[in-house]
Amino acid sequence: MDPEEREEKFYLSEDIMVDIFSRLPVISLLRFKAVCTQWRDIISSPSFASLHLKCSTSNPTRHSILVRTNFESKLIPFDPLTYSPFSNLDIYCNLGSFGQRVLFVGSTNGLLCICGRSGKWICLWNPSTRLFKKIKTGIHRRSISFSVAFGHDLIANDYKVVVIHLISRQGAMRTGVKVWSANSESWKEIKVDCDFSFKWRVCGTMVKGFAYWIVGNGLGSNRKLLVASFDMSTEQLRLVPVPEGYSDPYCFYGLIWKDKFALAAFDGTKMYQVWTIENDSVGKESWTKKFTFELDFGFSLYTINAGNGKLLYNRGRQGLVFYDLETRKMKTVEIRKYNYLASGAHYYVESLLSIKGFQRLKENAKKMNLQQSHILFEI
Amino acid sequence: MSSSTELTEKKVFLLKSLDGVIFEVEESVAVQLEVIRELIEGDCARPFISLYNVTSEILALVIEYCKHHAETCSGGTSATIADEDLKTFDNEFMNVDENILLELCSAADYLDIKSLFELTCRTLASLIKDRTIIEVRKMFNVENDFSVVEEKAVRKEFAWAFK
Repeated sequence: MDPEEREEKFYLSEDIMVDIFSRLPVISLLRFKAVCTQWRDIISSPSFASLHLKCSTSNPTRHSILVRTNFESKLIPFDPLTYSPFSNLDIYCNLGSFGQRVLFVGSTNGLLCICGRSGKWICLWNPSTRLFKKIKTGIHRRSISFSVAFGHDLIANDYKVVVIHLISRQGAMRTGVKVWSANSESWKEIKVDCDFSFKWRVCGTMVKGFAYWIVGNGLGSNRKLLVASFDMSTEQLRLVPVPEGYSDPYCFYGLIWKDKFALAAFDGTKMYQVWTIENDSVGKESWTKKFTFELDFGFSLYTINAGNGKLLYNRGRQGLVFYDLETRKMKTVEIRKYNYLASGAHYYVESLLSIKGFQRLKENAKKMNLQQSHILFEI
Repeated sequence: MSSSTELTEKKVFLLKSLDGVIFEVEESVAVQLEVIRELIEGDCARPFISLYNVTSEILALVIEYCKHHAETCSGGTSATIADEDLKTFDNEFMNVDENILLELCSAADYLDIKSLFELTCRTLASLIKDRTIIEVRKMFNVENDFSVVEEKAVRKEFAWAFK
């Protein structure tokens, strides 16, 4: 083509633009909304948000593990392929904006869920678009403890928060379960067949539209350990006893292994046995022992399930340890600051997803200073 | 004797660009253009195939790309070496003027060459991701059709995304 002809304007079709856009980080897309009305309309459409999410989810280089740290209440993004801190992710990482003491509940499709320590409020938040929504849980004052899970109902394409709480009623403990749906913007009570108690304020294992807790039922010698699972689509809570013959001194932990819930039984030495539920029909659930693994360090308060078969362990001054259940590989990330402690970790993938009622974080909210992660870690 | 020469003789096809230039390509190259695959397989590709949306300048590049990919894949080298070689070639190949890159992307879409389309889209995305609005408007020949009020509103919505 001669240069004169080239002067004629050349355009790419909308379909091609959509393909290019689906490969861009969220921050670029938010900026490009101001290019022209056509670009704004493409980028703002829910169908594009879904496509973009699909592209990001299928591309492992766009995944990260967000580690919640006590250092200035920050979320630090790690690259799950190299375990080094990510320096080129434009997300707003300051949990401090939501209150002094918050729990990092979960992360799904680019949406994070955090919860106030009191359990009175929950916040859904997209750290890439910096939009959020705060929800009151309405947990009763007499609630003794609570535990929160966050997940995606794949059938209704809805986002749900589940709260289990213990209420003291006339001297007896009662278990209550309620679920909040983003589509209906309301809470609903879920029927519970028997009362049970739980250890953690955050559900440790959330996988593919299910949340799992390890819970206890009964007291003293009658106490039984069970796995409670909540199906985000049918909103049913199911209780399954742990494998027979594994009572004290075994401890149980929920893991995610090959996109499934797995139960790890720890005998107090270094050995873990990992089980999965094979027969899934109600009342006939059966456990199958899959494999064993050994960790130099035991499970403890500081062992965190980071999702996708990865564990995270605080080794105090020695740093943070990532452990991959599938490859059995371990990687220590050295930390320069000694007072650093990780208290939660979840897989994260950037998205444009919004929830009804999302509002903007205050403008003065500064971007995370990425230099900080360089101060913390030897890279 | 004659039958063996016939067997080794390579099938060639003629591709005609928008501006009338005719390119002779081997079958291994032509089949990568999914859009003409049916014509080739149905033996309807005579005397030549007209590609109305692609100029000779771009078609020459597309053929260079397909030729290299066809040769590398059939060269009998190990998969990892071939992969490395293609990666190096692709990187070099993308080192072109931005206007050419846009036309290559559009041509790859039209000719339905998945790997080239993927490569050009990926390259364009990484080129523009840190650019300003004014830069991308110029690059993609897009007019600012916002009213002053609208543009102000859309810029204010995510003000922090503008460095």
